[in-house]
Amino acid sequence: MKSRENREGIFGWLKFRGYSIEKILYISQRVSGVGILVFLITHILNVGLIYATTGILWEPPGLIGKAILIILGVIVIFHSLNGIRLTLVEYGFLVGKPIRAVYPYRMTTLSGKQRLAIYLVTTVFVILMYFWTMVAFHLLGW
Amino acid sequence: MRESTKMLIHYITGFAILITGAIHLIASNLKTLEWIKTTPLYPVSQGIFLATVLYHALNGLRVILVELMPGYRSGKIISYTLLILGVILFVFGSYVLIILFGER
Amino acid sequence: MERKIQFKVFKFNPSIEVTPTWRVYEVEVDRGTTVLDALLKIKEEQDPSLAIRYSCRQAICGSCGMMINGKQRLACFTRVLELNSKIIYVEPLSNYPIIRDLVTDFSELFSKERSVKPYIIRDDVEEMSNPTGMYLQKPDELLSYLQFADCIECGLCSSACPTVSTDRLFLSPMVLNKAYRFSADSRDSGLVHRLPVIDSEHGCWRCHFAAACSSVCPKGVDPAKSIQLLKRMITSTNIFKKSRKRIVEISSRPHVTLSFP
Repeated sequence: MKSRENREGIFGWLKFRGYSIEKILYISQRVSGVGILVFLITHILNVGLIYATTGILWEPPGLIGKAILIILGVIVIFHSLNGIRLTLVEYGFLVGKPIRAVYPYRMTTLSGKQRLAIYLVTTVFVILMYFWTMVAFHLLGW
Repeated sequence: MRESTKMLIHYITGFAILITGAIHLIASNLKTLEWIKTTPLYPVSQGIFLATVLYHALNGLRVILVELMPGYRSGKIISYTLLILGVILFVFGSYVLIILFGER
Repeated sequence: MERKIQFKVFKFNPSIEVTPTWRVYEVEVDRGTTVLDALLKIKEEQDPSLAIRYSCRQAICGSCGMMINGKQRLACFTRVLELNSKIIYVEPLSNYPIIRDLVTDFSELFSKERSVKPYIIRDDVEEMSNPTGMYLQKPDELLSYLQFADCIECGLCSSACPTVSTDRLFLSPMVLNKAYRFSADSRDSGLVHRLPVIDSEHGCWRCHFAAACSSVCPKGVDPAKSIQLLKRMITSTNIFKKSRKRIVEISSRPHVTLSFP
């Protein structure tokens, strides 16, 4: 009897229809983390090498550099807020206590405190974004 | 090291980055708060920032790569490659920090 | 009120075919027709070669899990008209090897399940073989694992998990839920024996709370919750060297007489 492998591969990470919002947040956390990692390594090498060769520690960035910094700020703010929520969830703080599974079934991970934390994260993100746009305008000199 | 220890360090470093990273950003970007750079604890906090951010970032990358390439041998190869990369970046970064703050 | 609904069903036989095909069938359904009923009707009246696995038809055996309109559902627990679409796509569960048509191979999942020792482990071997009394559980001790014991092993959560879609060694939500169900039981003291498998590189720490498992679970088991609680339990026993769990002792009751042939 032959059977055929049917694994979705990396596309399985990107299927959102029918699943809850946590899956979108999970992928966003990954993508933003990889983005920060790329910035981090280039930042360490760039600043270090420029300082070692010319003695200049920090040059004011050009327009592209400023754009990268503004996008990086958004990514870092999201990654940290969502990261705080995920740390609390992964150590079992927001998922609720075990309940009796009685029809109609209620998932305490998809409602209650955990969802409240998502709304809180979104609100704080929007507020911080307001301040960050002001910083961005200041940075771009408008 | 057990996986639970690795992940606990991952989450602890996450919170450490929030503090030390904020110090790094404030001291390098706000003109009015540049006096932070002259305090003796600033180089120490920057050293901690470098170490924690490298651990957090490279462990995060390890998690993604381990899920993409499962297997006992590939897991070891990924872990040790990233460990070596992390040590190189840490040595380079702390060298820059030492020549930067060693002048004073 | 009968309506004609189009079913697009995945047809594939790996031993003789190279590529899968989609076959279209039209079925008359009414308010109570489930997807499984419709598929059986197709098998009876239109295409006897259609392969499906089912057993109880009432969401208790967990055999008929399949992708219905792109989401993991039990065919017997999903009514056709509840889906609100004119065309219904039926596929085998993703992330499992396909045996034929809608039938998938669960043997890998079950061997992973066996590796976490899904049974009660106790240190008092003598008592286990020659019982002298019984283990009493308080209602709150029962409640600490009862929800997770409702698992029917339909494998929908393991199919939905995004980590499983790339990592074939990941234990998967169903197995980790099973491990927590037995580790949280107050009669059990076997977490230490399960740790080498659960706390490994492809153990419970590869769960990142995408909660896809909980959003497809048909029995209200909430695997995402049990995995997070398992992580908490592992951290407190492994790193802080303390466990809040109280292991029950044997309680001999004078009016209970145990007789074993």
